[in-house]
Amino acid sequence: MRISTAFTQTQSVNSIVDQQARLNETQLQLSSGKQVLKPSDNPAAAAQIVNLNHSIDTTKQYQDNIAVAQGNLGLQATTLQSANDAVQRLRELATQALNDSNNANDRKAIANEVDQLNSQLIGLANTRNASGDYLFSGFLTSTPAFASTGNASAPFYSYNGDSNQRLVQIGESRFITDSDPGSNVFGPSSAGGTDSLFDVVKSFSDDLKANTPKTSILDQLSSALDKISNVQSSNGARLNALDRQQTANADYLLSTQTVLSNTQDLDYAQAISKYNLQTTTLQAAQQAFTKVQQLSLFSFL
Amino acid sequence: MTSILGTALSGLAAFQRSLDTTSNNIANVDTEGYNRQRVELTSRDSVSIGSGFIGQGVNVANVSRIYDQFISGQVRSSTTAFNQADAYQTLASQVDNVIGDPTTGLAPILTAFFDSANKVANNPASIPARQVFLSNADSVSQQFNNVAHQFDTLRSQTNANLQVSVDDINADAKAIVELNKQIVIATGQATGGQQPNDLLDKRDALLNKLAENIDISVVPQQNGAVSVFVGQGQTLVLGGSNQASTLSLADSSTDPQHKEIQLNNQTITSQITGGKLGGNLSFRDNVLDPSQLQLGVLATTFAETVNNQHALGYDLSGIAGANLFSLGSQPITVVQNPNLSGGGSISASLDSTNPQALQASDYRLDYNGSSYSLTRLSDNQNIALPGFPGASVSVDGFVLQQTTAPTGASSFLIRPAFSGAQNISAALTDPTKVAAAGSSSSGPGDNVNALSLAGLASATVLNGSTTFASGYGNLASNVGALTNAATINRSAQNTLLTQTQQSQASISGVNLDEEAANLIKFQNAYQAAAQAISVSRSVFDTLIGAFR
Repeated sequence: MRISTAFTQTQSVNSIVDQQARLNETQLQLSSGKQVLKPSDNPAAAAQIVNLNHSIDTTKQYQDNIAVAQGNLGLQATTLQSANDAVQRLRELATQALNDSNNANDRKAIANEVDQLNSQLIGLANTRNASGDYLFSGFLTSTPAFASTGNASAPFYSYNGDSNQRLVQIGESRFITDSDPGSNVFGPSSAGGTDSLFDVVKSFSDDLKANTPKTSILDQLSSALDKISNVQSSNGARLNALDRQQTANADYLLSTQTVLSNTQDLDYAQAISKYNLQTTTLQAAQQAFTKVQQLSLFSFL
Repeated sequence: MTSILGTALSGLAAFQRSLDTTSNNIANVDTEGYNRQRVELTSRDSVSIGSGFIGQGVNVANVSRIYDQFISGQVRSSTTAFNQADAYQTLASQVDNVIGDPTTGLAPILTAFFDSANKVANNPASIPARQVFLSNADSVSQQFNNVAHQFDTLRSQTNANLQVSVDDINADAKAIVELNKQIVIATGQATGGQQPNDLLDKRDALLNKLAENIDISVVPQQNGAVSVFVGQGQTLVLGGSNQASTLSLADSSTDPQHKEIQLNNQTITSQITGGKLGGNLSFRDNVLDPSQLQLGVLATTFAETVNNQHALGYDLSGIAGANLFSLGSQPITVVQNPNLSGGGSISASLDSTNPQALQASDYRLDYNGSSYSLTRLSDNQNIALPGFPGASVSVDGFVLQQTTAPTGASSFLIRPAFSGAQNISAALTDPTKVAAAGSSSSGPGDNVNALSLAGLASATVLNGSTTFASGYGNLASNVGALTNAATINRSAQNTLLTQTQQSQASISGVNLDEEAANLIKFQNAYQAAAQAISVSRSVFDTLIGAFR
């Protein structure tokens, strides 16, 4: 075949330029660590990468949600434990006060401690979390859960929250409540009722001050303790569920990230050997070009 | 005796021409469109000298160009095919870049928006969390606007490309008319069928340039001129004519951004194939418009779905949620075809109760004087209009209403999704107005609606089967697939073009080594002919000397 001098030269230059473009592509892949740089590199993988990234980000958000729920439930757990301790102590005091060997003064002294414990309990029921929300107020997070009514007769305390429980999403279709309404923990059993823990304790204290303690207080305190313990155990169960979901999410994240990495990340060993090969090819093309260009019959004229 | 001198002189002249042509070849080694030339020599008629015939030397019969008409035609059609693929691929890869690398496109911003709804759910009373949610809503709409803006830029670029191609075609067609004239004159002057090689080369180069812009068919005429046809046989240059037809660009009657190609004021857009013109048109119709519509559907459905959910909730003051996103005062453009005189007017609005039904298409509503028909332009499907125009009708996620009845034939272009990504904006700035609560009377800790908003992230809200994020993933993958195919096609066309160019070059291209060899050959022949003259002189001298 005849060779056209100009065309051959253009072709050689073009092939060098092509080599450079390929080398550049590999270089971009190496510097970004990705084999899919734009959707056209692998259209099927591009859609998959969007979905995988979405799953990963969403699952990370679930993990964040779990951390928030853990914070709230953890705070609730310690608060409930303190309340539990206080009610235990109240029961000890009640048993002691009911003993007939106590005189009016003794009972007044006990009443003082009972009052202290009651205000401690109210403080616990009005605990706020890190963002300043009242833990036991249901959705009314800016309202203290319990407040004194100022009444001369029971109820002395009212529950000012509502009965809602906040849900937090912790998995694709998994929600968990990260709070309990104060009425479930401390009473009263019905709105405006007089059987809240604080009313019970206040009546007990008043009875002590009047030197007429009633034995029914023991049952009342027991049932209050049961209520707190119930919430405590459900609280613990939810914390365990959070831990399990956290592990499940972490496993899912790991496997999804592995799939994502397999889909979009570069096989460095392969890429580097490709890079080396392309560099060699480019050098060979350049050297061949200069060699061939020196071959001309005119050099011998 | 005189014969040896005459013969030698004819040789000198012939080899002089051959050397001229060789050096012309060398001089034009790098000239685009140049076909190498060769001097064709024929021996002069011999004369009878009784005992036989004796040769009288050599004649230059022709200076011909080495040229293959068939391969030239192939080069032209490969040039057209390659330039179409090249223009298409260049533009498609720009959309590919806009839609972008999967981690920097719209998808992560959508995910971040829903994540921030989750953060509001975790802490519904927190003003900072609500603020973050609102700024993410703003980022989402800005990213939509940004991509839409880049699509607009690509549209302007495509229109500019079309203008450049049209101007080039017109200029080349004029130049071909001029060359036609010169070639006809030059061919007429030649007595022995000789051809004006360099004019022909120039015209071939121009035809090739024309083919870069548009698919042409070339028909040679008897007198040396050529006729050039485009599209389905529309005349661009007529062999005998002194004038070329003029291509021009005109606004479509319903959208000034949509350009039509006209030949002598007749619209021929749909008939144009090949070349940069064909590449740009097919990019606009197959990549740009569908992508913009798909993006518009995504933006519009997103805005409507989020607004609907937001309206179900209540803000910190217990007021039902206001719109989180706005799609502008006139989300759907309705343009009347000015070429029909029927008048009337139609209004179209989004059907917010059915955002999922929105399709990535424009619509044409025709009135024939007695009844309406609606055509979905993406698949040319006719859509039923029950009760219309007596009552408004909801189709494919938008509501049509007749405001004034037309008096005669009329037509409207309706674009429900086209401007969605361009129009979307965040409508709320006050964080207390984020409707996180599920009930108007509950407290600031109510996160019911915030949870539902966050849940939209994994809800199948597009066409009832796709989430927003994977809707975007599909768009990216569609554009990616088109660009990928375009890249493969471009490289295949490039190979074909190179192959035909190579065949052409191997026939018509100048090889310097060959010319060097010819140079030596013709120089030797020239010297030999000169030597013959010197011999003829010494023979003459010998003869004169005999008489002294």
